[in-house]
Amino acid sequence: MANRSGTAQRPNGQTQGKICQFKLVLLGESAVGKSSLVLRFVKGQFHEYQESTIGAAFLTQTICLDDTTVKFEIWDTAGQERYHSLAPMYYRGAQAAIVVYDITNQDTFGRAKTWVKELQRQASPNIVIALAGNKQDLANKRLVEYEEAQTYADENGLLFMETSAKTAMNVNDIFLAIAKKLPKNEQNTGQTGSGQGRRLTEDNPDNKTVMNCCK
Amino acid sequence: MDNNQLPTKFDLIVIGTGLIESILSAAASRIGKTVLHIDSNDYYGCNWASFNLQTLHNFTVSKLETDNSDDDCLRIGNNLFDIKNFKTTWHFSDAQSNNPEETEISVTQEDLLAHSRRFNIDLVPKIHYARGDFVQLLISSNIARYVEYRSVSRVLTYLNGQLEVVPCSRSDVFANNKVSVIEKRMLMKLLTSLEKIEERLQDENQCKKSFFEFLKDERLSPSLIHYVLYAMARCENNDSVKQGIESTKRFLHSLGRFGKTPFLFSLYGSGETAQAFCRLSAVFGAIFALNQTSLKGLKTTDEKLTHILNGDQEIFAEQFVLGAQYAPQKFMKKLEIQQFISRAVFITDRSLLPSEQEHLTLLMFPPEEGKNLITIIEMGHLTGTCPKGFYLVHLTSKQISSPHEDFQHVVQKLFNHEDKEAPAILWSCYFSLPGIDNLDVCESLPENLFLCSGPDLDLDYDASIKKAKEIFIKMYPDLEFLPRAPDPEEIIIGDDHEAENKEEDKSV
Repeated sequence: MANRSGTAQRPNGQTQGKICQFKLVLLGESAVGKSSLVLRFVKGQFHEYQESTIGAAFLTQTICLDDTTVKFEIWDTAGQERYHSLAPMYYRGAQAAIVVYDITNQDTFGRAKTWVKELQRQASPNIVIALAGNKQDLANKRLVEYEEAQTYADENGLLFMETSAKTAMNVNDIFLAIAKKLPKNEQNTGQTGSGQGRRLTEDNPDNKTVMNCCK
Repeated sequence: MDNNQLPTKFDLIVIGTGLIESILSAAASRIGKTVLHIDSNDYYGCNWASFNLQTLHNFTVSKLETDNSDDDCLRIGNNLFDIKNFKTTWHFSDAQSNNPEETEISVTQEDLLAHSRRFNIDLVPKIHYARGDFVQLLISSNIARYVEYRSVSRVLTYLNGQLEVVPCSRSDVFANNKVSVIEKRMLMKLLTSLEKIEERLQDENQCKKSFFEFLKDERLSPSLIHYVLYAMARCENNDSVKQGIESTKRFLHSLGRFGKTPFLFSLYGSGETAQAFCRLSAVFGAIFALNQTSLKGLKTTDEKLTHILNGDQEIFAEQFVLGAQYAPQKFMKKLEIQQFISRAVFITDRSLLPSEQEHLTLLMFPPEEGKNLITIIEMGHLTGTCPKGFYLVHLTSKQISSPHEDFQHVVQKLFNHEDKEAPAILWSCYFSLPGIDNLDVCESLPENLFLCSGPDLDLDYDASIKKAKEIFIKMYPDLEFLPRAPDPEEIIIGDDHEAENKEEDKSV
């Protein structure tokens, strides 16, 4: 559970500053490189023929921002988007989303816009959304213009970057930009997600739970 | 687009995303089986689903396309398990005409519909015992990572014409000012010595009497009998002492683990649970496809199913799991639905028993006037099932005549129009669910076809977990049922994993 790593991941072992935890969901058409972006960010790896991430409910990674440690709990679609079968529970309590498209494929950009709309309908109203035009290393085969995506992002209040999971370009940066934009208030320092509920664990002593109401 | 073509060979095909089907899907994926999981609906959960207000208001029973496909296939689907007597009503005119001077009710139908997506209204709301099999399974399988829960914060009963908080814990019992000191001692004595009492009853051969008679013989006062019989044991008057003691023990056993009562509710509604199992299944490689409206039939050879016809595709598998509503008519000839579940859902403007904090309430409304015991769950916005300022009230009971008639007395007593303190019903929804849970009567099922029953009357999912396990053991006798999934920190994605993946026979 989240509190297992707790403060231990701070690079110099110091415990000052607060830890904020956020659920981030990835969206986008199959094969645009969602899992590759996560693996680059979390493990620093890239595999040309990345198989789907079997067994990973979500992955975690932390970023240090001044005196705050931002811990991302990153959810991948597990392929459920392929036949338009992503469950509503996927968006529950998500505070951030990265909508990914492939700059060499115009259809995936169209689908990305649909995902943004879906998020605006389904997800929490304060969700921070970033648009990632992935596969920037294939810019010579580009079919989606940078300016077109930038204009769309501006109109919809989205963060936008072109990324490459292969070369690592802008991968850390896009997560960092999201981390900067997320509200780092009391509420997100809890370890139990949205603050309205709790995750169940074997020993859940009552004093550990966060039962604050959020609004 | 070619994109919508599914792969055509699997170990297991699951049709229907009800809870039991979803558990089986997850369990099979978890042990490395290739799974295709499909549903004809465009939502997860079948009769276990949750809907937003707009969708539920316009709910219609979905039908599979019935084109004339070839006769030698077994057509998928039957109508035995359809939701019946579905009726929704807006009550704004009633509320306003009866409260002419109350200008506060300025909410309109449009306001509620504008917040439609903030509602997650369960077809079948479920509450879980904190130490029940379901919660244990969530934790042991690590599915608990996907869903959040909220404790039921109070248990109420209806006694002498008013709502009362049922003391759950020892401290509650002693803090309660409705029962005398002597009663408190009697209650504690009873609750702490149930094991001994059980043994004694067996020796005295008294197991046949009803729990109600037993409590009277123990000389408990009427209010104590009421608390124990209805609220803790959730018994009807003629339920046996064995059953009563069993369920009281269950209640007590789950106390003190999470929150003040023994009960938990899943944040954003009960429909999340099936989705969580589906997600686990997907995380371990299952392919999901909802909205498969051209699901046609099953093909058999020598008493075994071989494949399904989905649109123009033939998809093969070794085993098949179907939600009962997808079972071909041929197997269901002897099945008669004798028991229905009466359901009602209300959107109200305030709590049944207002208090400083927002409560998640379980109210066991005792059987009276020839009606059955009614389970009432009231949830506010902290459960993620309705917008702030409103409450959702779910009523469930064994059907006698119709949902309307079965709940009429409760509506009169708790939502009385003339009583300004009482909550006003702004919207109501009534329906009947088929309550069959025994599919043993199904005839001549192919040996590799397994049927899953729909929702039952139980408060929780424990019986459903048991059924899922039974089917799993039949399919995969020697394999582990939902072993613990790894934590994110334990996942190693490196060369080893890559090599492993290459070895796997991926039939895409």
